Amino acid sequence: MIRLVRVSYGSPRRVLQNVSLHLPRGSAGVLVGPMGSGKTLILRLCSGSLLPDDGSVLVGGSDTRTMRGRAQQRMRQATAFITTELPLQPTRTVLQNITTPLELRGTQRTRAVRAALRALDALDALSLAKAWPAELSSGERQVVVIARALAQRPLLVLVDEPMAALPSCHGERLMTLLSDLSAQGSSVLMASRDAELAPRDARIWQLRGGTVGPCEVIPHRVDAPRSALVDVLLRHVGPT
Amino acid sequence: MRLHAAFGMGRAALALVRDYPLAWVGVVGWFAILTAMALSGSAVVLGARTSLGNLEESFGIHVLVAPDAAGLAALNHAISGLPGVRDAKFVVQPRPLRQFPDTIQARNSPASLYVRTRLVKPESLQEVAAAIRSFPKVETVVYSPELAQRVYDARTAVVHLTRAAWSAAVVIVMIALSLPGTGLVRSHRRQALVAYALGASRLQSAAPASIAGAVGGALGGLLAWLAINVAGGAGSTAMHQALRGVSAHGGLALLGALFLGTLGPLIAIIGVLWGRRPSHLDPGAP
Repeated sequence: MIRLVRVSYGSPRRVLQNVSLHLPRGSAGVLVGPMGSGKTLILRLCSGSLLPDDGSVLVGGSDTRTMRGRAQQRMRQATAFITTELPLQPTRTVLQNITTPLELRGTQRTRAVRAALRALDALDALSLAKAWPAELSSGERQVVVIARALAQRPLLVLVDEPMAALPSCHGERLMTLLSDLSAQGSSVLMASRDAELAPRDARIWQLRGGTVGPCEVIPHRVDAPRSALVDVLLRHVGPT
Repeated sequence: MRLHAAFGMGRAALALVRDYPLAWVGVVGWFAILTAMALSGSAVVLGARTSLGNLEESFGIHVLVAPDAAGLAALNHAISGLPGVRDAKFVVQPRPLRQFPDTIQARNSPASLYVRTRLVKPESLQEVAAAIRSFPKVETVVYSPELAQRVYDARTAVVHLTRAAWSAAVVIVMIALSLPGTGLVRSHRRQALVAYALGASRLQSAAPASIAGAVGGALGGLLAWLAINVAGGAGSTAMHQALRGVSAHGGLALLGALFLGTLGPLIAIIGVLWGRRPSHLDPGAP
């Protein structure tokens, strides 16, 4: 699903230097490294919002550098980015925020609302549906951002420091959801300062000094049981 | 603070324009408002100067002509034609000269001229008086340099005061509009970029900013037109004439403003389709 081939980025300071990694479809990966090591930068390169100075980033077999117009839009619609840098729209309610990406791709309103409610329910945040973003705490906002991403039926999920603003009780639940999403065929790439919390069977890449170390697989980091609720969510949210 | 506000507004506006060219219309509208304010400020200053005309009219040069002077009308005409002279009137009952204690008292004369000058500046007054003295048959030229200086100083002070007050008002309005304006522009851009990142097309994400730009541009043009119209109603100088000229074509100005507003979407479509790739995670994005 994602392949970085000898990617370099940054001038005059090379933040990334000849980085290569491969994340197949339906698998999860975690980029681990200290602050400023280039984790978020790799996610941005994968989202197509930044282009590499050298090398190529292939998403679903297509080079982000050559993607144009409709193909680029399809890629954005198939990608869910969970980050605090992609805030909620302040003039829309939580529910409207979650349905926005679905409506942008032409999903029927009632179906979009149903998917949004299911995503909120899966995160125990159904009570937030009618709230305005300004009324939410930073943790609740992060939960809504995750719900927005999950409701999109993404083929690629990019997660940037999920625990930075998320209540600790949601950590394992999120990892379980991400694990199940990857089991359903989505690719999950996460950036984190440590690998304490990671989706099941995630590949771990250590970033240091702009380069990526060898990949290692850490099985079953999360053993939380899969709930019936998550099953319902995945049936509707999983990639088609 | 003023600089900070102006730079903030400018930076945010440039960032918006870089991604969504239609926002130029809004920026043009913004500058149209400022230009209109500056123009109407000039009109206010000129209006103040004009209103001081009454004060100037109380001042002039008395010309006493010899009793046996012939061709008084010809002399009147010649003096009126001098540069710097507004008009010269034949005065049957000359004004009492006791208001000029420091000038030479003239003999009572049946023929007198009262000359009003265009400028009350003491130097120019002196030049006019010297020119009048050079005419034959002119017996005495009476005016008060001290009074001229006082009138000139008073008028200059009022003009400066008006100009300072208007400048202060412009600065206050600029700050008052710049601060929320900066937030508005940033918010528009942020929302457009978030929508783009969530899968909207360039056109969909640019729509809110484009509409805001078009409405802002049309509104700015309309306000500019109104301000010029209002400013054109005051004063009576060359500037006023120019302003009246602009306001006389108010329909054209309004049409121009609306044209800018409607031209905007076309520019937006071209710019959005072939514009720069927006990055929702651009570190330099405001």
